[in-house]
Amino acid sequence: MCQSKPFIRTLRLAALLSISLLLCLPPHDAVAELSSEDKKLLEMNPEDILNSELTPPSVSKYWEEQGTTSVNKKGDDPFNTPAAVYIISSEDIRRSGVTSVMEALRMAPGVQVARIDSNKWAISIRGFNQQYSDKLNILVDGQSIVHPEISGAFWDEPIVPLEDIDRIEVIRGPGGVTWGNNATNGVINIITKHSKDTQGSAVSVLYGNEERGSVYARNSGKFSDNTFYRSFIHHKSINSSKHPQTRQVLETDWATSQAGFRIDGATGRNDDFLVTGNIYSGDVNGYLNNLPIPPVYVFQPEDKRTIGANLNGKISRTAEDLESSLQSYLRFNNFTAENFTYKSLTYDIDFQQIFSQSTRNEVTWGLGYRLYYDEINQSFYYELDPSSQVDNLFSAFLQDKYALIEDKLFLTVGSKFEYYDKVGFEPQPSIRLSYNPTENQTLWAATSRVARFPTRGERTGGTQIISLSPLNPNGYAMFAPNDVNSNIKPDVSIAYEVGYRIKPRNDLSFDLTAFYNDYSDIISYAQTVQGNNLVFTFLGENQGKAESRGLEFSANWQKTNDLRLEANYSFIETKVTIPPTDITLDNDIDNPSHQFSIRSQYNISSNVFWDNSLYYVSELENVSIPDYLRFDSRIAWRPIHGLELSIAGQNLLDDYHQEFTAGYLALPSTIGRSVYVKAAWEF
Amino acid sequence: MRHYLTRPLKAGVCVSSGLALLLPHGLSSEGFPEYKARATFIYHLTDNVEWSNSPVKLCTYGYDAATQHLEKLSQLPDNKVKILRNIGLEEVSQCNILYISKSGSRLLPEIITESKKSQILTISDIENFTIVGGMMSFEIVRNRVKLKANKRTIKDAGIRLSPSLLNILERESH
Repeated sequence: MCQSKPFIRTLRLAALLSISLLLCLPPHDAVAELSSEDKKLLEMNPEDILNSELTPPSVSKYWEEQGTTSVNKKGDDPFNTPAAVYIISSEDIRRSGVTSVMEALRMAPGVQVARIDSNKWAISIRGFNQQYSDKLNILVDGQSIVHPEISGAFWDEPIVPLEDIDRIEVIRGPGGVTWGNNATNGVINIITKHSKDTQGSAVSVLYGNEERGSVYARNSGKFSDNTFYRSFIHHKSINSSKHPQTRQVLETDWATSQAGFRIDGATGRNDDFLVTGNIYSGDVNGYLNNLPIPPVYVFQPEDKRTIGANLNGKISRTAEDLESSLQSYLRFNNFTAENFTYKSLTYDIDFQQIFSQSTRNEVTWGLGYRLYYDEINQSFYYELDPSSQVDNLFSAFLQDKYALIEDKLFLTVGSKFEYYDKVGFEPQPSIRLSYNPTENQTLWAATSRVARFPTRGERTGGTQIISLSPLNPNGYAMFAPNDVNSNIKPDVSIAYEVGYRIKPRNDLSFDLTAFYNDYSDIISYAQTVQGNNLVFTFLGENQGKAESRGLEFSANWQKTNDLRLEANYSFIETKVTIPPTDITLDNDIDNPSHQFSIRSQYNISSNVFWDNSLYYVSELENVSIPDYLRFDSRIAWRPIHGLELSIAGQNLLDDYHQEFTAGYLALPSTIGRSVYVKAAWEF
Repeated sequence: MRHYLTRPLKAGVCVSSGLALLLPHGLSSEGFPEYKARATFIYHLTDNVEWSNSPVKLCTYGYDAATQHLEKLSQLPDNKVKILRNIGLEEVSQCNILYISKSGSRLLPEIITESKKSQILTISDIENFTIVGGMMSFEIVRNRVKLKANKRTIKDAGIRLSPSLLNILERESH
């Protein structure tokens, strides 16, 4: 059991009390209360309304103009959502000057983003950050792109071009009910633009010192009045990073090419369909550690070539009080390195239905199936037994959102049920409560149980025997496969969250969340000395436990129509307990305790824009990564309609700094100052 | 270790000072949010158009801040309006007023075609709405909501506007 400390006790108590109190509240008058501003407007005649001056647009246009789909798969108003939601809009992406989805995620509070080298990132939400973070679900248009073999994303694979992204919804905390396993600590849902919204053509070219170059071209049109398409090609190339001490240029340069399409259409009065497809390839340079004996690692250059393709189709039908959708997804992925070849095939099919039994009751249910096939060549360095395998994952979920007091108090109860043929059955229930005392405030609390199924490596790993004999000074490694570990279980988290949002004025909003997570069955690995051999058993055991707690805060101020400011802060503390002779990937040493950022978007004139971002990340004390400040700035000019010329600088305060250490997975590396120029033309 | 504390502290002080300098100006903002002005104007259409039924059926298609505000206004005790929220195409014929938000623009041609089968006043903030067959549209000009109308379409539908609303349309078209 985790130790109960005052903070945790208080948080638990607050979550439970909030839920109890809110449930006990007396019935409330359903008539909405009008503010004095609303009343004043109502008393005006139509002509006076049209003559009135307007205040600046709302602080977070996404609070009002967009629905989030990531929390409950339905487009609800994110301001009222009983979860920690943050939305990175397409404008945020464009104006921040970031050049990848990974870098864009720095904008969200509570997300740990650390660039390891040119082509590797460690990204997590609410802790446990590592190169292949395994407690996060990453989706594109609602479809998970997580690789089951690592329970994470290969960030060096192209996702979608930034130009085609409508928004990125970041949900901190469990998303188990709707998105299933792997969403232990959060969900990142990348929503691409409807092809109707990108009609015409676009070209952009980028050139810089770290970003060696990027070319993007898009063409959109329509097949009929109801059917629109978009096609694109994208190529980008990134320079190598350098070693922090020797300043030697490391072979970590990276180039990817991608082509894809999206078709949106309506076939009937209430039927919509969506088809997307992508093919990509990448050359990713890096190093392979061929002698992982801490703390001395022996790395040798290892170039990886990755190719892949995916096809996603979705049909939706909207009838009175009933929405249904069927989504199907096929992905092929292959990567080849000198000592390693991995192929995988994923097929997903999901059905979902939302219906309203009354104006106060909304039920969502769904069924899903995933087939996953992988094949690995047996090599000296890595071996899985069996070398190829088919996994089957069946899922069902049911959720009911009930208005205890109409427009005021909502209770959402549900559970996802998953059956993984290699591990077993896991229920993942959740209860969420939200209360809107006024239209500009939301108070919410939630308790969830989420599970992460063990990866193939954790289930079918092996034993590495490293000779410590003086007769073998190089410490040669031998690798022997183990039997499948049938006893391994998912790691499980019970999460408690409370949150409060307020818009004290139309131009200002605050969002505060506190959480406590209690993890059990954390997977760890045994290491023992047997005679002259150091033996690592790469076969996970559920021997660990952990806890994490933290606060996340976001403030958003649309000062005028021409100036928007945003500040974010997050605090996290994690503690992992495993047997003293074991090692674990779920460590507590790679998470910065404090992160702070402030961003500004300033329209100097109607066609000149100046945007700045300042990020502070506290030190990773146990792995000797100092704290750092990062400052990004971008100036853009639109000389004519459709054409934007910009210059952007990133990491402007330092020549370079180190953000992360990936231990035995990658050589230590630094992130240098980056400057680029970009021209983007839409016509 | 000391610089680990001083650097973020300095940055914090700079940022806080910047915010503090900006804050007093921000507090003096006046006027109304655009979406509330839009929603209240639509609400007033119930008094400025001749309807044969009461309460007036106000439909919304799609979702935005104005639809949310309209829902709130529809709960006023004056009972002037019955709101049908986020309707389907097959429900269009039940409406007196139909507000189409930008998020509902995908099926705009179908909605317009459907609305022309009945006597329905269509209004939206979608660009070029009045050109593609809609009746009234909003746009923002010099920080004010401006109304555009296709008077021919309104007349063809047999919708009778109040003299004051006609005057507004006349002035706004210049």
